[in-house]
Amino acid sequence: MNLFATPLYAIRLPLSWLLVIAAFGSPAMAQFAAVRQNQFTVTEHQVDAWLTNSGSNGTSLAGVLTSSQSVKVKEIVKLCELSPEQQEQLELASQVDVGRMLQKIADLKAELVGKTFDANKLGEAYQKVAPLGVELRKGVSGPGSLFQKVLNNTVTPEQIAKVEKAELDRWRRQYDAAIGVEIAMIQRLIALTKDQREALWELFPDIGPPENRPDINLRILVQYQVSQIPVEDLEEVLDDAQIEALGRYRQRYSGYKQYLQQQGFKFD
Amino acid sequence: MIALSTNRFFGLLSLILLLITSPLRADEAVAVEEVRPAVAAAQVIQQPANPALQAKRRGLETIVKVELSFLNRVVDLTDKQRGDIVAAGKSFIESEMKDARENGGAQIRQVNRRGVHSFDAERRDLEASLRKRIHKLLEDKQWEAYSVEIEDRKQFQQQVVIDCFVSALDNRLNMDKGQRIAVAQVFRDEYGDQLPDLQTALNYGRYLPAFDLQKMEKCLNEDQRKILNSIQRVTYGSGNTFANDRNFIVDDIDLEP
Repeated sequence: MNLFATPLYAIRLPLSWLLVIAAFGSPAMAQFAAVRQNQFTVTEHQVDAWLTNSGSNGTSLAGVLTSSQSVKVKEIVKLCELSPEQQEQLELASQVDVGRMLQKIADLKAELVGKTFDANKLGEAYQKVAPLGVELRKGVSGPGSLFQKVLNNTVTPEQIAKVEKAELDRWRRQYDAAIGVEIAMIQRLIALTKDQREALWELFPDIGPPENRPDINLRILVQYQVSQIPVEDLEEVLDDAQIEALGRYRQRYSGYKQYLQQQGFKFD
Repeated sequence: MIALSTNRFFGLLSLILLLITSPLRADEAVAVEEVRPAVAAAQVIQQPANPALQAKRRGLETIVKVELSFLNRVVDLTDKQRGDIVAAGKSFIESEMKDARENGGAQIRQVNRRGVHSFDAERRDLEASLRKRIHKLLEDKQWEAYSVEIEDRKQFQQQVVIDCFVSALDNRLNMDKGQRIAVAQVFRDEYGDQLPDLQTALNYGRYLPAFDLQKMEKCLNEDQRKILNSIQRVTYGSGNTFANDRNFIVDDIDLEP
């Protein structure tokens, strides 16, 4: 029915507005609206966003997982100059690991998607997703995976060393970039000169990647590292006013050690 | 006698309530002030300062203190110059505050290249305005040394933000060296002469800026493109105001009257 064609439209519109005003104006209706507003139905999209710990743009998680494994295999093939047979073995192992993860995700979605939760109980739904999200972000080819077992049995120790070096280099680039951003942030606080920036960079301790590669915010790591630089070393680089200001900043972030250790970082 | 309908009664009641509770117009306020000057004066004294203006002043002081402290480190200033520059800094703050008061808003809504309000962009704009005032107080050689450091600072910030994005992408895309260089160049071209907001780097690749990534896609293989396109692109908002940095800034420039 074309609403605009009916003569009733002329009175329906103001009437509907009056109803809306009445509904939200009366306490009883407001409470009713609030109850409705405070209920959430879990969607597949929401589970994906919780799993990846970021917004999802609707891309298939399965497709991304498969591609993530594929880029890893291609890199190893290139680094280690693997034969087509070796490549095939790694790809098969990858597919098995991805399949296992997708099954876990499918089981989780079967349990949650379409269910409605009160706002104050939505956390319960998230708690069911969170452990799998951590597992997912560590990567499906981590320690204990079929991929790792096949890799260890397929390539030589020398080739394994090449793969590990590539991973370590990748970690160092990430860590270096995080240090750079942190120094740029500090520069806005204590007016670092070019020489001071470069010297301060040298004071950041080297650190290896965390065990199991959790999806960690590196800013927390570098802020903690700033807090741990010995004052005697800072005195070589900064003047008194800068050290005093940075001291307040360092104090703020000195308590992260335990958290970072829980994330798998090892400090001397 | 006119009998009021219920609707008219409530209508009149609403009007009366509105008139009673509405703020005084300026001319009315003056009239009241003339009758009760002591009360009005007391109200002015007790009236809390505008929090937005207070934040504006804190932000300006943060910028001026850090920038003048920076200048003092990179250029050998005479005592006379130092005094004149601090005076110029104070004058800059007051003129910005006057502008903020007269324009009704405490913030200069400076936007970044995506048209979103950005405290980074606002800060850069204010620093540039401050530098114009400082310029005339420096000798050419001093100005040149200061400008070189400022350019270095800018290049550094751009480089670290790009490094941050490229390394985070690399962590997910397993790029080779050639790809990393090509992707970094795409970011560099995208930013051009603009300084990227530092806050954009703080999510370390969990999100990407809302760039058109077509040029980047050309450097990648099909699987990498699929992963790239799964990363959410966001338009970064304001981030933290620099007024909040105040507790951690170097404090060797005295701006007190």
